[in-house]
Formats: sequence, C-alpha cells, structure tokens
Amino acid sequence: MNGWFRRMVIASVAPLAMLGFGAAASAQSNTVVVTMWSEPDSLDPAITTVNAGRSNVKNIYESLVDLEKGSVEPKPALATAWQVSRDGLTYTFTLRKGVRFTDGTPWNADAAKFGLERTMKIQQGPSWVLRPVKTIETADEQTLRITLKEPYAAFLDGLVLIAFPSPAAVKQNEKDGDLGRAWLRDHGVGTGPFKLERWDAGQQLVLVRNDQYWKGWSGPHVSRVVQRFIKEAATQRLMLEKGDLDLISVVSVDDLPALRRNAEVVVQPHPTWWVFSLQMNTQKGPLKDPRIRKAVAYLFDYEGHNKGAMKGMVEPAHGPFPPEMVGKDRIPGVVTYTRDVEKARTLLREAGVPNGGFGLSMHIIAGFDEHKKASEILQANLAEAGIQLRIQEMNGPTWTATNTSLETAPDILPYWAVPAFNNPDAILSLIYHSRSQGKNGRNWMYYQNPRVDELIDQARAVLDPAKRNAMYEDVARLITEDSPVILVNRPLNVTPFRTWLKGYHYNPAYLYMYRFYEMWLEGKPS
Amino acid sequence: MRYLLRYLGSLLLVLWGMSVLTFVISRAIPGDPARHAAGPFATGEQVEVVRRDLGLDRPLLEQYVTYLRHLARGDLGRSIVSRRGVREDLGDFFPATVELGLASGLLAVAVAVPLGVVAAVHRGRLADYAATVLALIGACTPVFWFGLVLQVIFYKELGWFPAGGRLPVGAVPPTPVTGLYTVDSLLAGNVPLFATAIAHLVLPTLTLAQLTLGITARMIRSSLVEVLGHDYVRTARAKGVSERHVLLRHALRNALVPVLTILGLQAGQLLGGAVLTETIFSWPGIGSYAVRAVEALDFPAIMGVALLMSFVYVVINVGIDLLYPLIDPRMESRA
Repeated sequence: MNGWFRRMVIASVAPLAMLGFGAAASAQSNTVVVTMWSEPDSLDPAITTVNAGRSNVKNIYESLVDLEKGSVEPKPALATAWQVSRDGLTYTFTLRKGVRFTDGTPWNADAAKFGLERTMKIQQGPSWVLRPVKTIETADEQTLRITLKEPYAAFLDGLVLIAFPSPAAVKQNEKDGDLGRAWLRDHGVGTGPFKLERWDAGQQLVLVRNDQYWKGWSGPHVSRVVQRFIKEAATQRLMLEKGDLDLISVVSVDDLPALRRNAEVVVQPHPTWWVFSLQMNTQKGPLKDPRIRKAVAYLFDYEGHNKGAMKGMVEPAHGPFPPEMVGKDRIPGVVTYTRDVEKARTLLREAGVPNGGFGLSMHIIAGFDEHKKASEILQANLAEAGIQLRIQEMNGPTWTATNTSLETAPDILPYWAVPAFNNPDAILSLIYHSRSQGKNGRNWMYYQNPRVDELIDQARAVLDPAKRNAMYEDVARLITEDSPVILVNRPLNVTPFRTWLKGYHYNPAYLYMYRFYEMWLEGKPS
Repeated sequence: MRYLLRYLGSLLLVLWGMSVLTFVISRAIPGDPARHAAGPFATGEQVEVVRRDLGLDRPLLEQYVTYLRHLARGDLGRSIVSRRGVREDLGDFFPATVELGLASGLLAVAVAVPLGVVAAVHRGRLADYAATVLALIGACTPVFWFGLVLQVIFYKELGWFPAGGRLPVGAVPPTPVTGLYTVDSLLAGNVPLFATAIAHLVLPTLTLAQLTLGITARMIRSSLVEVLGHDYVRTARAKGVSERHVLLRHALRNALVPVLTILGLQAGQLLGGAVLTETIFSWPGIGSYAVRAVEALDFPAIMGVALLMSFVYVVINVGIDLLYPLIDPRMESRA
C-alpha cells in the first residue's frame, strides 16, 4: 500500500519537475501564424461551406478568375482572358499556359471542364453558382467555352468561388464513385501558391509554399502558414499581444479599446457586406398587416442597439443590400427607418390596434450575442406599445428547421444577409424572391411581391451595369416600402494583426478568408 | 471471473441503453442538420442532396437499425460537421482529454492527500483551517475564470507557460501510439518534445485539477478524522506503533475507501470541467468536440461521444471496484 501510494505521488510530481523546460515556442520569421475560429469541414473545393475551409481552398487551389488585394472586380487567374457573347449566353475563356498542379499534371481545358463538372455532379458547396450552366466544351487545349441556359450577369463574380483540383489526383483517389471526396477532404492537389503540410484535428492546419507556383516567389512572401484553431477570443487577444500570433480572426468588442492602444497591433474596422436584420413573417399573425410591420420597424431602437449594445462596431443599414453594390452611398427613395414612437402609434391606430394587446414570437440562436441583444431591445420597445414579444432560444439547426415551414416559423427572426459575391442578386434571389420561401432558400419572411420577383429575375439577365443597377434600386425601394424586415445594421469587421505582418488586404468578398501569398513579415523576431 | 463477466454484461446493457437514449433524444429535437451542413447559400435541391448523403432522408427506425448494424462493426458513422468517420474523430480528440484528465486527476490526488492528512492530523488548529480554506477556494472558483487568470499570470505576465494547444505553433506531433503526447514523445525518445508537451499541459491541468482538488481534500480529511477515532487506531497506538506508521498504514488506508468511490464518481465531473478547460486552452479534446457536435446537431458525433463517455465511466468505476481489495483485503470476498 505504502509503495502504491508513493508511486502515485511520484508519478504525479515527476512531470512537474520538468516544468523548467518552459514554453519553448519557436516561430520562424517566415512563418505566419494566424487563428481560425473554426475548423474546416473539408478542403474539397466542391464541398466546403465554412470560412475556414474556403480560406484554405483559396490558398491551395485557384479559380478561372479571382479578386486581388482589396478589389472586388474579377481579374484573370487560371484564365488569362475571356469573352462574353453579346446575348450573355456564351463565355469563352483563354486558359493560362504553363500552369501545373502540384502533382505535376498540366492545367488545361480538360482539367477545367473536369473541375466544373465534378462540382456540378457533387451538388454541394458552391455548386449553386453553376446552376445556369447548360454546356461546357473544350475548343482546344487552352480554350474553354461555357454556355448558359439564360444570361446571368453575376456569373463571373460567382466563378471566383469555383476552384480546380487535379483530375488525375481525383481519379486516382476515387472510392466507390465518390469523385475523390473522402480523399480531398484532407488532401490538396491544386495550382495555388500553397500546399497542405499537415492538419492536426482540433489543433492546427499548416500550409507550406508550392515552389512550382506559376506566379513565382520573387519579392517578399511568407513561405509557411500555421493556422491554429482557437475559439476563445480572450486567448486569441493574449497571444496576439504577446506576439505568438500574427493575425487573429475573432475579437471581442470589449477587447478593442485595449488593442487599439497597443502600437504593435493594427486595428482597422472595415464595413462588411453583411446586413443584420430582424425578419418579420408577412404571411401569418398580426405582422401580415404592413402597417403593423412598419410600426414595429419604427418602434425598434436602432441607436440603442447599434451604438449601445454593439458599441459602434456596426454601421446603420441602408436598404436590403449594400448600396455600394449599385455604386451608391444612398439609394434615393429608400426608406431608412429610425425610432419614431409617434409614427408607430399612428400606424397601430390605423391598423385598429392602438394599444397593441397582442403577442409576437421571436426565435434566436443560443450563443449569438447580437441575437440576444437585439431581441431584448425589441422586447422592451414593443412592450411600450403594448405588444408582448416572446423570445425563444434554440440551437442553429433547430432554429433553421423551424424557419423553413410557415407553420412553425416565428413572427420575427434575426438574420444576417451575407452576399456570396459583389452583386445584389446574391442577397435578393436567396432572401427576397418568393421562389426562395421556406425550404427552398432563405426567404423566411415568406415575403411575396410579384413586382419584386419580376425585377430580380429580369435584372439577373441584364448585362449593362447601369441598367441593372437601376432595377436593383427599384427593388430596394419596393422592399423597404413593404417593410418585411427591420434593417438594423451592417457589421464592421476588425481583423487585428501585428505591425510586422505586411500585405494583408481587407476584401469584403473574402471575409475571414486570407490570401497568404500577398503577405510577408518584416521585423518579426525569430 | 464471474465478476468481470457480470460487468461486461452490464457494460453492454449500459451502452445499448445509451445508444437508444441518445438516438431518441437527439432525433426528438426538431432540427435540420442537413440544411446547416449545406451552408448558407444552398438551394433547396442542394439541401436534399446533403440530406440523402447523410442518410437523414430515411425513416427513423431504419436509421437506428443501420446505426446499430454499423456499430456492431465498430463503425460509429460519419460526422456531419467534420465529414469524416466519428471513430477517426474520437481517435484524434479523445486521447487529448485522457491526457488532461489523467494529469489533473493525479495532481488533484497528489495535492489533496497531503492536504487532507495534514488537516485531519492537526484538526481544529491553524493547519486545518488553512487547508480547509484552500480546499474551499479550490471548490468555489469558477473553472473559466481560474483558467483565464492562470493564462494572464503565467503566459502573459511571466511567460512561463504557453497559452494553449498541445504543442507549439507548427510543431509536428509524435507518432501516435497512445495518443498521449507526453507518453508518445518519450516512446519516440524525443525529450525536447516531451518537455514542451508537459509545458503545454501545466495550465490546463491546474485549471481542471482545482475543480476536484478541494472536494477530494475535504473528503480525505473527514474520512481520516473518523478513522482516527476507531478502536484499532487506539490499539495500534497503545502497542507503541509510531504515529507515522499508524497514520499511513492503518488510518489512511482505511480512510481511502470512501474517497476512492468519490473519485470514481468525480471522473464524470472531470469530463464536464474539461469542456470549459478545453475551450479556454484550445485543448483539442472530447469536450470541445462534444460542444461543436451539439451546436450543429451532429447526430453521429453526439452519439459517438455519449457512447464513449458511458464506456469510460463504466470502465473507471469497474477499475475502482477492482482497486478496493488492494486497499482493504477484507473486500476481496465481496468482489
């Protein structure tokens, strides 16, 4: 017994005696270390739907066209040039010569066709971008022709999301007709600037430079990228300040003042394309009446939420999509609601419910800070008008499931409209078109306006930007007039990084996606 | 032998019960993990493709039977979030929790036993009060807060220990044998890696240990106080046995029996505390894996974790039962 006890004590104390070896963290000066808030679901470009996965796909693989630095205009990447037929139906791409995948096989029209068809067959990830595609042909080794079923103005913007794996690698690793999905989950054979070095589940994903990269490595670049999966914002901040991390993906609003005071950290807020809104059910209950919806929109305390609860890390929203997508700061005629209790009371009187006296339901996702804050503010605001708001917290999949059926959908739900690319269609088709109601998309307001539907459909096919933008402005006016939604704010993004990290460019289309090829380190202690 | 067979039987029963329970509970929650997995831009068709892919379009009973059939082959299904086998996932995440749990369990015992003994021997005196206060502070401190404080002091201010993770940035883990980095690095003869693995283990271990340390010390104290009042202790003293011998050979040995029971039950608490500890220290263990699974309603992962945890819980308590006779030979016959 005595011996057993002694052994146990020794076993537990011995490791403590080794503590002197300390935290021997060594970072080479050419390795950039960043955090990822979550882990990729897959590195397969045809599968992944989460930022961490898409970000790595952007570094391992490439697309026909790409966005550089902070620009949101598609520029040549694996295609050097393209022509669009006058009817907008045929896209002819000239492909870049001399590019090879990391397995040594060449990039050519066959590889392009294979990649596009693979994405369409798998029908997951970004395959929705290719929905308008009718045929894909290879005219010669360097020429790819895509024909669409109908003209789609945002087609090129969408192609930024489609990346190409090596056909040879896919075929070699195909299992049970899975098109190489299982293998490509944690392997990468692309043409991009980086290769996968290792992925330790739950810990880190390491990329190392692809020496054969066609753009070459002259000039300053990082050569290795360590992405650590750290969820806790407080830990990320500590490690950034200590210099163990070069860039962090998540920062708590409360930590910002302290980080701003740190001269060695760059803290620059940038407007995102996201629109945070409170969607109202237009098909059932009291909110069927547009006057009551407007009254609710006038009751909400925008200032209190945006400046108070969100501590100014948001901008007021103007219209259902970012107006800069149509080249404007403000769209004439678009109503921007502000808190106006008198107007709300008048509207409620007109609707025959001067003293409220009814209840509304709201579903929010547990753990989403802004959902909670917005719902509580709205609850207090509505109570002033005699309207009782019942808030129910649930997990993400449950929240989604209740929204997708009109019977179970709540009266109000918070929602971040996140456009996938630089075109209002990315928000409008998915969220405001009647075709996208319930299970078919994200129109969980069950909003129906035939004129809005018609304009959205027509604008998709208009290639002239001026004409198209005018149509989108009309849509914005119609939506705010119908008021199916309380447009609350547009979040600002802050990606804090050390001053020794150079070449980081904020790009609203690549939020939480990092282009490491553009980055280098200057004066980072090794 | 019969004892072991009986436990094996009950283990299987527990696991089967657990599989039914978690299956029913996770499916009873209204939820649409397929839509969630399909991403925010997915069309209705795409969601259905993902649903078919995950087998969630089948009737519930069929899903359960398929699950059991796969389970019999040791296949726990494919995680909705990580898109790979749950068994592979658990193989990666579970050893991290085991390593942390073992380290903090050992630390808790190593500190709690002397603390409890000192308090019991000097009961009613300053040492007792000091030990009691220390134990109470340990038991009352929120894990999350304590972890953050340790991080600020020992990482930010003193720079003695890393803020999180199992290994330094970009380091290559040792070839997996046990999955415990400390053990595997030693097996590989890689002493620097072992040292750094230990350094990464310190703060999370302290954080997790404080959860059970206080209560264990209190248990040892009260158990020992009771035993020290027994006749056989008085007899031993009357025979002229040295106080040290009386304490360690006669009293402590008997006092440990109830403590061991509590320790077994606390294994569950350790796993619960691991969730928070793992979050603060980005420790890639089963706790953070479970949270991720629950958030995304990742059915196969939730069930995998539940089955594994019930298995571990049963095994620990069987192990404790087997330890009793070592401490108290009179219990041999009972076992």
